[in-house]
Amino acid sequence: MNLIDKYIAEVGKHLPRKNRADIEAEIRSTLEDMLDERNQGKGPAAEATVMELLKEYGSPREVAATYKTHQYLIGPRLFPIFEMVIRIVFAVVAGASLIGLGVSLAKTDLTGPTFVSNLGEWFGGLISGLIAAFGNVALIFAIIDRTQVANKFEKEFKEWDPKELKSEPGPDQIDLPDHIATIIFTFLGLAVLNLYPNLLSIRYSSDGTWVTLPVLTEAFFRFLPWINILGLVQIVFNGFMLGQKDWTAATRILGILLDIAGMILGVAILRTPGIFGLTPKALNAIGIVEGADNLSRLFNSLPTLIIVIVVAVTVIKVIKSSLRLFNKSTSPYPVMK
Amino acid sequence: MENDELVQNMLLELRRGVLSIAVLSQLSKEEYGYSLLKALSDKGMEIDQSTLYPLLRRLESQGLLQSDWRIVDEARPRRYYVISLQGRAVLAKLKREWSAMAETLKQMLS
Repeated sequence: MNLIDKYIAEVGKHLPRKNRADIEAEIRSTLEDMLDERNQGKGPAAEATVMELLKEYGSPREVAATYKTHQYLIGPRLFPIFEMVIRIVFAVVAGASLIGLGVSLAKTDLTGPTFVSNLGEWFGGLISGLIAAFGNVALIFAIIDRTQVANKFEKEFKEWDPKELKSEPGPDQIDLPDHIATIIFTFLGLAVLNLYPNLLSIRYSSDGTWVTLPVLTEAFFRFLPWINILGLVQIVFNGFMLGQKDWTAATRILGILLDIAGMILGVAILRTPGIFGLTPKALNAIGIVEGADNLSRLFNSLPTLIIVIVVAVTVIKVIKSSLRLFNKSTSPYPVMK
Repeated sequence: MENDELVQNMLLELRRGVLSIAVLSQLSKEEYGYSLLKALSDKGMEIDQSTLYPLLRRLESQGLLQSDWRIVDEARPRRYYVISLQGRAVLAKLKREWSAMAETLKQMLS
């Protein structure tokens, strides 16, 4: 195998499979033409001449890169939405992490080395949580960018009409960012519950050893298969909606059924006793004696509050969707004047 | 020094914009990649092979060029490119646009 063969094989490793053989053949033909010219037909070229030529032609990776068209992870069409989602996700992760830190510090000696250790542990957890969140969101957007949805965005940009600024968007029109946000947050929720359940726990140091106190108990995780099924159906449904232009009666009904199913599952979970691990006993065990009852009562009163919010939000959503289903003139969108 | 770099970058963008017209204009008769590279260079349009070959592929995928592999005069197999009918129509339009643009700029810069 001569130098040119080796070079072309190396370029080929980085080329798209589809046109690899053709591009390789063309590069070989060009290199041989260039070599002939440099050697002026005086038989086989010296190795030094070939080396010089290859060096001039460029590194294999660089040459291969010029033939690739899709060289970005998230294109300019979706990047503004990606930025917005990342900000929200980071705020949620940081907020949840701060609550964890607060509970963890409630029992810590604020001047001792345990405090520094707790802080270090929290910071490490926060950074890895942010990196994991960033990776997951970027992955979803990269997939979306390589599907028809990105083309749909581009089409919308191109067909944009200033008249739209004054007209009211149709009540049946699909709201792309809303569906994308639902897919991303559902995916992240499922990823946290299934892959990173440790993010939902409080870690603290007890006599030099790290102990984990889960915020959610086994009782909660018994519902995980149902949460997964409903979450996946939501992702598939919203993914399907991204390809649609308008809501139809069938998709509206399906959306309403999914909302109701989500509400029923949410209420069933929240009505189950002992889904939160922060009992007075557990809090006492980690050293929070003073205020443990209040903290625990706060956590245990949360389900009732969340049930009220979940039911209220779902009922409003279902009523709005039903009204749009039966009465097309009802629109929740503000009219721009 | 800083200005030199700015000018270089702007020239690069400027050249990138006109390369398609230059390449299409030189392919009324068949050329293989390296001969086209030389033809462009002889006329003062220096172009890097790493820019030319991907450009040729893009123009072909847009239907503006046609190509096929052939062996001519017992040489090695080479891929020959020639402008397509659609390419000729596009080039004619581009020529008109370029002339108008050049005229406008000439007036602006005089």
